[in-house]
Amino acid sequence: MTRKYLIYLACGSGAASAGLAKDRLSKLLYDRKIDAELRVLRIAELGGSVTAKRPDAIIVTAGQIPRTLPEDIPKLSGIPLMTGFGMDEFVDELLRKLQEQG
Amino acid sequence: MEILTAELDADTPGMLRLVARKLEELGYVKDGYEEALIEREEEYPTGLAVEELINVAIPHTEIEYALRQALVLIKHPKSHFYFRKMDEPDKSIPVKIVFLLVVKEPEGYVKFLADLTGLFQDQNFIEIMKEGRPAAIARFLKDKLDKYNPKYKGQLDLSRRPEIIR
Repeated sequence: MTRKYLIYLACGSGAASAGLAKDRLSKLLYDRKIDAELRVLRIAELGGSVTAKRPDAIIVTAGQIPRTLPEDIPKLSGIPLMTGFGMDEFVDELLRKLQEQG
Repeated sequence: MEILTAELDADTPGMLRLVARKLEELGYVKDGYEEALIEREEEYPTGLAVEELINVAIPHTEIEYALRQALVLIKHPKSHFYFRKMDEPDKSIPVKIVFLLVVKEPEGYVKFLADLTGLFQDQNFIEIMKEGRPAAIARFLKDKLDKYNPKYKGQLDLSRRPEIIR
């Protein structure tokens, strides 16, 4: 059993596309029996939230990933979760990155 | 959620402005929507490349501007609209069809985006988005979405008379 991961999902509004990505990812992770807390944020809130509580991964569905975020936190584009194409490969990559973190 | 359609021979900001003004005139959005929509697209672009299949855009802005919910399907009669990509804002892509969304609560975005992007797996939908006129796309979408979601109703061609066809 792996530990519970904390994943931030961010988009411009902190609602629309990251909200959809969260719904889809939570189902995909559930199917793979991965325990994770998914938190939807605005891109503008990312910096502060990362400082307050460091996540295990950051998924951005819209907008540029802020360059000021710590380099060692894995960051992924959430577009596959938006379009529905390549979702399994996306989850494979996410899990690989999470496991590299330990 | 009412489905509206338009064919507009304009560039992307021109198209967004025309649609925004029409939406305000028809009472779908509040004063200030036009600028908010343009600024929002500037800051967080919404062009989305769906694999090798089709490029779409899903412009929207803050829910506080919405008075009545609407989905506006917009095509360029001869060409494309250029939108910057959601995930790579430095790149522009030619967009075949624009799905402009006016919703009153954030869940509305998630629900609609889930319904819409769910249909991207349907080859018939991809074809009709590429080849069909906005009204045909609206009918297809309505038929499909009605099965799960009876909220979608009516159709209004913004580029013609402002009249809702039920």
